[in-house]
Amino acid sequence: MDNPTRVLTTLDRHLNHAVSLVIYGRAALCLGFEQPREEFAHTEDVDGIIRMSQLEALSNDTGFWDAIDATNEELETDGLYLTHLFRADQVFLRENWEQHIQPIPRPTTKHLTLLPST
Amino acid sequence: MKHEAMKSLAEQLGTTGHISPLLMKARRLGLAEPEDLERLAILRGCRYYDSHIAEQAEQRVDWRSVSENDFTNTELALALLSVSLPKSQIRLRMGAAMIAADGVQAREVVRRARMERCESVVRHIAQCASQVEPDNPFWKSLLHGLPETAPKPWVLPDITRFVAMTGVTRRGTETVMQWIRPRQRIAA
Repeated sequence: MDNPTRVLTTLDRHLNHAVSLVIYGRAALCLGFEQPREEFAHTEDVDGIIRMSQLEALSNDTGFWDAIDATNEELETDGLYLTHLFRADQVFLRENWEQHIQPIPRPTTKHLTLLPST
Repeated sequence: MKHEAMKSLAEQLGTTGHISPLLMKARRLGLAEPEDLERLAILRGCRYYDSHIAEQAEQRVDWRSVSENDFTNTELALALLSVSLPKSQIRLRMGAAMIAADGVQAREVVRRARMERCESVVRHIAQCASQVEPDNPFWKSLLHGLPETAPKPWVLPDITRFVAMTGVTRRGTETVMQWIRPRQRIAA
């Protein structure tokens, strides 16, 4: 199993409610494309973008942050983590970028809806 | 344009701030403001800095209720050094002291620094500390574990801000630097 899948399925297991997360960087390249380069599977973390429309709700979502903590604790021995979550206004994105994102079909998750940034 | 004092440490270091899960954890424990972290550090032994913040921090939370099990000294150190907070010289100095607390493991600091994107800050501290305590394996381990980063001395405190300096010792008049670290209270 590739590392992004491990991180995200672990997060999904610790969540108890629906969360939509935009991922980017190597994890998005690994999961968002068919036959991605092998090196993307070995990235140690998953980077995320918090959309401005979800910023307040997610900031106050203690269940989400508890799940992040639990994920990082569980994966500590393997050196994997998910902590680099950026506000959308803090990263370079194309104009109207939210209109161009598509759900990522894998991995299969119960609570987590994954979207790649473009 | 944002006033310098309002800029996050990340901005001053020329990088992007992130929404820190570590600060979110602190907030869930009632440590909602940077001053709460400073107060907790003083409660954990950073009394050297007590007078610096005594008038700034209001009593918003019972810091004694936040145990080291809830929020470890490593987490507290890295929260004080968070690049997502506004830059504060005193907070950086307290973070440097907390990193040197008893029981803090270099491996854990390296992992947390990577997760919190403050490797350059921790490396700067380790470089300063290794000049003061060149034989301390803790600082060597930190420097070994952290990536090389371009120093930004105009942003981060000078070595003299992390140490207590003695002018007179048993050997006479000389300058001796001691790394400031938290001290446990002596039981009455």
